[in-house]
Amino acid sequence: MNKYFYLLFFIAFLTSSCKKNFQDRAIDDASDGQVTKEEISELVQALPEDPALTGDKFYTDGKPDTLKIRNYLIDLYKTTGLEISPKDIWAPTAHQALRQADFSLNVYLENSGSMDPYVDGNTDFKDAIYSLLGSFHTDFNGRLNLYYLNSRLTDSVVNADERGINGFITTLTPAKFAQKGGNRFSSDMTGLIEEVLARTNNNQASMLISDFVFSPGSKENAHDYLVRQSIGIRDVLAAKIKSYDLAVEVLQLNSGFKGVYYDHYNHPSKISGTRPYYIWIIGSEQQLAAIRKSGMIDQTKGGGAVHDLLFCRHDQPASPAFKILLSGKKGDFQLMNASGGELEQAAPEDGTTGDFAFEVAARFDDPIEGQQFFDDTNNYQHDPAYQIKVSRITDSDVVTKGFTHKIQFSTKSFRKGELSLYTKASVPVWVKACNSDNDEKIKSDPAEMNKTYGFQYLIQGLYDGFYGAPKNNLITQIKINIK
Amino acid sequence: MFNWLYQIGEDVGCYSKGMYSHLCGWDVTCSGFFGTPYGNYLGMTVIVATVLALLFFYKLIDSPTKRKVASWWLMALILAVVTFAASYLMIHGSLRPGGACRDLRLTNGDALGLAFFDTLWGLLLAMIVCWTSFPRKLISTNNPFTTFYPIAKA
Repeated sequence: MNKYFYLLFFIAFLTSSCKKNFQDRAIDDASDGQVTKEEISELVQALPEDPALTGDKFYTDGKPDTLKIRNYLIDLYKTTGLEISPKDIWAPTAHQALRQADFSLNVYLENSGSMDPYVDGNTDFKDAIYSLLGSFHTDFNGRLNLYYLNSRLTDSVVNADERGINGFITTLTPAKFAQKGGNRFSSDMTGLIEEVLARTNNNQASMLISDFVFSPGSKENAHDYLVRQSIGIRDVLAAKIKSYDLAVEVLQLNSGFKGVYYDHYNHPSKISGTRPYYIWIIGSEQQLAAIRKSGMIDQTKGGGAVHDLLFCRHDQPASPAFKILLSGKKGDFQLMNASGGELEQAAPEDGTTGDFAFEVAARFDDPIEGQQFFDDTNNYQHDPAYQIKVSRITDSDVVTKGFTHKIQFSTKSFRKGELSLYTKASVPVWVKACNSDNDEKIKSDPAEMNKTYGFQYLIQGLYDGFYGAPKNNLITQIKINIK
Repeated sequence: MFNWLYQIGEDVGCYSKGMYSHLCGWDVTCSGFFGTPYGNYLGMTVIVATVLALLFFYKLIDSPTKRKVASWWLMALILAVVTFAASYLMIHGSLRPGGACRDLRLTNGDALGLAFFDTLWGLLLAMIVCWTSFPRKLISTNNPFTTFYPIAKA
């Protein structure tokens, strides 16, 4: 009896550790050259039971995320040299629900006189508008309503189908613009934005298309006018944000421009070349997320967006995906999981105080400021005891795959505790580069052709509206706990 | 299951902290402890090798000998060689590119240190098992009093 008992105990002891771990099971699943939906489901069951072991590596909002698991499999198979194509790994239909989003899109095309040269002939402007309208009509169930707008709404195509879209595009000519009426000789940007915001709600997103060139006229002090407009834009946005989950995406595009340009004194100059124009997509964060995920912006014809800015309310800074790396460390620490942000048993080089450094790979895919923004250490806020160095991840190394930036933290006065790294929103550099303070010499100065008069004031108004309140300018937060 | 044991190996300097993480299952993409738990596999291998060696010595051969202590230590030497070779081959095989997280910077010295540590605790295990007479008496007919130290005949 005793012998059998010991034998059974021994076998039980050995087999208790035989449950296959997540990584090895994933490798086994690829042995037949494909990973099926059922195998992914089994992998979900095989996820480590202790969430602390994985952090958000495989989870979103506390639930297993099959898309994240798939991404891990792709990395794993590449690292281990398994020849399996990503197309042979089952992928969840992630965007299906978003495409069913039920909201209307109201498109407002500003038809003041300054817009005429964009619609003279076959231009990139027309191609871009056509492709955006077509994509929305194809990808979403909501209604598409098209409006002309200057000092007031002048004409509309409600619930446009293919024929309606086509008709709208074919009437994009200077002559037809003039026929639509309204005040075509000055642009009140604050008024335009206010008008569009008033018509934006949970059932209706908006798209505002304009060159966004301020026209103070010769009687006004141009600087005072721009400052007033900037404050006006800030105020109308701030008022909307109070009661609505507002988000605004600003796309800068280029198009052929042939005709009369009115400078800020309303002096006409006949020019021909390429000029920027802007598409603002205005709606709730959910609506904008649906539009972005549908891919309609990325597929815009007519050269696509040159620059892209997204503004949304930040009650709390977002938490980007990050991973602590074992490379580039000074001193010592242990990790339970790389994406958990906890450095355990941390110690500097000489034992108690002194040099301590570690690296973090982060994914800054929030497009508020674009990738360049995150390259600049001036846009970061952190414990002054630490210095940071930021570099862009450009190689396809599997350890840092999916991350955009590598941040090295270093300090000469080590201490344990929580360490937070914030990024602060600010008007991006390209906005200043695209801003014109004086457009009188646009005909003789080629650089002026790529600029927009008063653009910086416009974007500053947006920035102040969204991020003006104290601490609202913190975009992201990476929290690290040094134990 | 064996992490506590391999923590000792790291603490006494047999191998690096990186090797300890590798043994605990740090995955090949350097993301977390959901990779192959080599520590568990090695721990089980050492236990199985030790138990088989003792079964072989006390149950299958079970031959009375005049130099009891020397014969026990001969068995222990063979066990040590087998344990060392098995540990080294298993862990060295995992150090190939794509077999371990690159950032752990594992070396052949780590693999040798680990094999040495496994050999050491395998021997200690064999000595502990043979410390008391109960396991010997349970499986052996002719050698219940043969172990790693001389036992005076009653």
